[in-house]
Amino acid sequence: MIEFRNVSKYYKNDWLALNRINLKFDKGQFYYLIGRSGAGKSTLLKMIYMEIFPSEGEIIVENFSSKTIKQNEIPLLRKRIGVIFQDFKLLKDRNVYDNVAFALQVTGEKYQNIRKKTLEALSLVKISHKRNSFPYQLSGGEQQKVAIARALVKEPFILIADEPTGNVDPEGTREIMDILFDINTKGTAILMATHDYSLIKKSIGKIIGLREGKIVNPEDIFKLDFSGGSKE
Amino acid sequence: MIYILQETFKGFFKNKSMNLITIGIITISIFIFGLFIIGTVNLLNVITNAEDRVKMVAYLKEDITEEQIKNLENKISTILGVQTTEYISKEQALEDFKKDLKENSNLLSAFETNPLPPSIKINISMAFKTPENLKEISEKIKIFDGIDDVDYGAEWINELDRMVKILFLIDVILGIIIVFASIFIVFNTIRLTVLSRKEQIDIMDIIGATETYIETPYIIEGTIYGFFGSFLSTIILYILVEFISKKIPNIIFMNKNALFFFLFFGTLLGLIGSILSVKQCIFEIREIKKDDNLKRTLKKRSA
Repeated sequence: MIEFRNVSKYYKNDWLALNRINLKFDKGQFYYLIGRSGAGKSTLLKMIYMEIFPSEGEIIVENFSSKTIKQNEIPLLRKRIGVIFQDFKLLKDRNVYDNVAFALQVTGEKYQNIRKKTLEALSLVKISHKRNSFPYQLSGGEQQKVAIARALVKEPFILIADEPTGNVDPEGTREIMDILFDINTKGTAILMATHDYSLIKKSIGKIIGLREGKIVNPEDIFKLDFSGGSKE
Repeated sequence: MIYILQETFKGFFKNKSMNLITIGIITISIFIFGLFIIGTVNLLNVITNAEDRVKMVAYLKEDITEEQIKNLENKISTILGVQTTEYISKEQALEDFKKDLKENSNLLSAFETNPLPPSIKINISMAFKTPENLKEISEKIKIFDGIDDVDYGAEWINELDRMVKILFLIDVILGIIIVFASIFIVFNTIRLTVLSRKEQIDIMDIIGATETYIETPYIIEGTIYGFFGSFLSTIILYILVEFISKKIPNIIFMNKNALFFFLFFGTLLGLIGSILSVKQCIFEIREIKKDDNLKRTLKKRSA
């Protein structure tokens, strides 16, 4: 369903953000994308929802190809993908419910379905009780839950999470991870980029290592980072 | 569609101070445009009035017969550009002259006989009131039998014509500058309101909102700004003109058509300004994001 075919990304013609990436992401799986800051994790994720396009190679996401997709087809692609960020990216001027309902409104969901779907998504991430609160009234963990609800309400086939616990306290982190695992067992694929290796449950997902834009054996990254290399 | 209107409404009331500033700036720039229009309308009015006064008079020889006069009037009427003719007899001319002199009419008693010649007053149609045409017409009339001389204030006409041309040129140049300046200002002002909601646009873009959905609220908003701006400036202009016309009569406000055009122009300015600026902003935001991400990656890696 998502495939990277020999994907490279140059920056200013000489520097390689990504170097000949070949990857395949299957439905329903849990993927960890690990590597230090600057390894190219975000670039790789942004290529999936086509915010960044490869300089070389091709990315296939369901029926869309990075080579042939038109600007007006990108919203259709993004309807199929949920994305959450380290900084949550919630709309500060509206409450939790509106933040989630917003995702349905802008993608043209039928009016009758919006309320039901929004409430379902909110209860899935256990934040229904705060549906009238505004983002500034919530903790980092709670804000991320809202972001997850907003991503899930579109019923995407994959949820992309870019350092989802970067701004969340340890307790919130555990809750967020539980929610992600829960979503995954319900059939949504998860692709999570992180440099916090303690979050990884090896029994659950597949780990992809990225260093300086190249795919490497994740064990090498663990070893390097725990033997003197700084973690951040 | 409901959501788009809701978004417009929200956007409009959430950033009140920003919106007021935007409307204010648009009002001012459209106001300046309006001053220009009023200036032009009045300038054209002055020119028309001046040209209206342009009259041609053909002085006739003293010994002319009535039949000859009739004949002459007919011939003059057939010349291209001549609207009407009117015969002024010696006696009539004296009467008119006396009226013009009013209390000084006794000056005329110095003359024993009527010194004024009979004449034919010739009204020239507006389009022919140029120095070249007037000259041509007067020369055609001069060669007729019984004509002594033709007068149309040649020097004055030339001066007026030169002045009109210069004023018109200045007016057109000024107009072009003002139109472009207004478009530029309106465009940039709306751009700022759009950029101030960059975060929201970014989020909508990532969620998968179509461009129409992202753009339409801003376009509606911009059009409303344009309308309000031109409406407000029309009111201000009207008050201003009322005030000035008390001191200088004959100042005219825009006529109904011009007023309608003016409101239409302001609204259109808002519409075009917002379409251009929102499209450009979305493009800009996307480009900045692409670049930012890569630059950040590079920085982290080299650190």
